[in-house]
Amino acid sequence: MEKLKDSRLITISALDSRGCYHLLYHFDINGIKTFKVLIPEKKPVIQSIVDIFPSAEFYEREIHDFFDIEFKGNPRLHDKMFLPDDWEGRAPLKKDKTD
Amino acid sequence: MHDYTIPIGPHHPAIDEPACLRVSLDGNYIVDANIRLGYAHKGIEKLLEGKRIDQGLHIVDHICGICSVAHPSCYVMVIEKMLNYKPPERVNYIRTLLSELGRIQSHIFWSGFMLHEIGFETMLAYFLREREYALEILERLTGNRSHFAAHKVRTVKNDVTEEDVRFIQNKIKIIEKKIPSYMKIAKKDKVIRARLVDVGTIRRQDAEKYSLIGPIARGSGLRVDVRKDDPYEAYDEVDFDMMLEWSGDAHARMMVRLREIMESIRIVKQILKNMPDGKIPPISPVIIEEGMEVGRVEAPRGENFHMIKIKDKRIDRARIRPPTFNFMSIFTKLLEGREVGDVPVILASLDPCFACMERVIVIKDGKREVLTEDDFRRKYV
Repeated sequence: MEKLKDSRLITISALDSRGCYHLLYHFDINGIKTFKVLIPEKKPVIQSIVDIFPSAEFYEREIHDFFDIEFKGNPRLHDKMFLPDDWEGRAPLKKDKTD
Repeated sequence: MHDYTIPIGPHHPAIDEPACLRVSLDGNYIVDANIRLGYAHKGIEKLLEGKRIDQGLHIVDHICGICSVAHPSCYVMVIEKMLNYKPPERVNYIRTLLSELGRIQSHIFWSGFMLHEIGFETMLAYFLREREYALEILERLTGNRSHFAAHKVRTVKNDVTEEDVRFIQNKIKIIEKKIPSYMKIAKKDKVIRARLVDVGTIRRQDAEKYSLIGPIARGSGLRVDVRKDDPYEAYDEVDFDMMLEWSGDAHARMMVRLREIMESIRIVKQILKNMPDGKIPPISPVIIEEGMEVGRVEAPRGENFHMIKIKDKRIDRARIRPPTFNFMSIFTKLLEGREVGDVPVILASLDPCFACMERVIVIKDGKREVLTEDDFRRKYV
C-alpha cells in the first residue's frame, strides 16, 4: 500500500464469494486498477489503510457494517454508520448458503 | 476538553436531507465531529442482487433524483464493457447531451441552495427559474422531469429530432444569457464573500491526501475530471476546459460550479452542431452469462463508480460508490475549529447528495426484523 501512496483511492468494495471474502481496492492509476485481497470467512480481519488513505475510513466502516470484516487500526470502526445502533442480527450483505 | 456535544439533525431546518451530525463543542467552537447516516436507506445494493440486467437498470434509474443521468449512464457503460459493445456515434452524442444537461440543472440547483443557506432567498428563486429551462429540455427529450430513465443498454430511449435541436438551442440561449450576471453577483457581493471566502478551506495537499474528486478537488486546484482523464461517451470529441480555482474555500467551489455551467453549455452547443446522422438501434434484450466489470463517469458532484458482477445471467453483486461518499471523510475534518454557524455553509459547499449515498440495506420496524426480498419488492419497488 505504501507504494501506491501517490495514487488516488477510488473505493474499496467487498464481495462474499461463499467461503472467503474478496476485498477489492480500486485505484486511479491511468484508468481503474484493482487490487484483490482474499480474507478467510472464519476470521475476517485485515489491517486498515486509514493511515495512508484517510478517505478509506468511511469505506471500511461501511464494509464493517455490512460484512462484519474487522479493519485493525480504524479508530471509529465500531461506531455504526448505516445500521441502527442496537443492531444485533446478521450482517446484511453476507450471503446465505442458499443464495 | 469537550464542553458538551450537540446533535445536529437528522431533521434540522438548516440541513435538507437526513443525516445526524454530532459535534463536540468548546464554547462556540467545534473540536470534534462525527456523522451518522442511515436515515434514508433504500437498500439498492441488496435489491440489485439476483435481478436481471434490464431489471437492474430500472432500479439504478431511481437511485437519485438529481444525479439521475449519472447512475444509469455508468451502469450501461459497465454492461456494455462486459458485452464488448461500442454504441454508435449518435447514441454516444445523445448520452453526452443528457449528461451535460443533467450537470447544468444540478449545478444551477445547487448554486441556488448554497445562496439560500446564507440567506439569499431571492437568488434561489432566480436560479430555480433558470433551472426550469434545463428541465423543460430534459422533459422533452426523455419524457420525465426527475428520474429521466433515458439510458438503455446499447441505445437510448428517444432519438433527438430536428425540432428538438431548435427547442434546445432556444432554451439554452436563455440560460447562457442569465448565468454570467449571477456569476458577477457571486464574485463581487460583499455579503456572499464574507460568508464564503476562507470558510471550509481545503488545501491542495489535503485534497490529494483525501483522494477528493469533482468540483471540490477542482476548487482546490487539483486536476481531476473523468471526462478528461478517462473519456467516455463522446467527451473525446468535444472541446472543453477543466475549470480550476486555487483558493479551495467555499467561494472557490461555488465559482467552479458556476463556471462549469457555462462550460457545459459550450459542450451542449458543440454536440448539437456535430450530432452525426443515422438511426439509434432498437431496444433489445441483454443476456450475459458471467462477468465482472468496473466503470466510472463524471457525475455533477464528481466521479461516480459502479462495479457489477454477473453470475448465471443475474446480478450477483453490485457496488455503487457515489461521489458524496468520497468526501464525507474530509467533511468532519473541515468542521474542526469552526463555529457552529458555519456547519450548514460548509456542508452545503460540499454539495452532498444523501439519496445517492444511502443505498444499502436496513429496514427497521417495531419488531426489528429485516424484510425478505419479496416483502421488500412489494413495499418499495
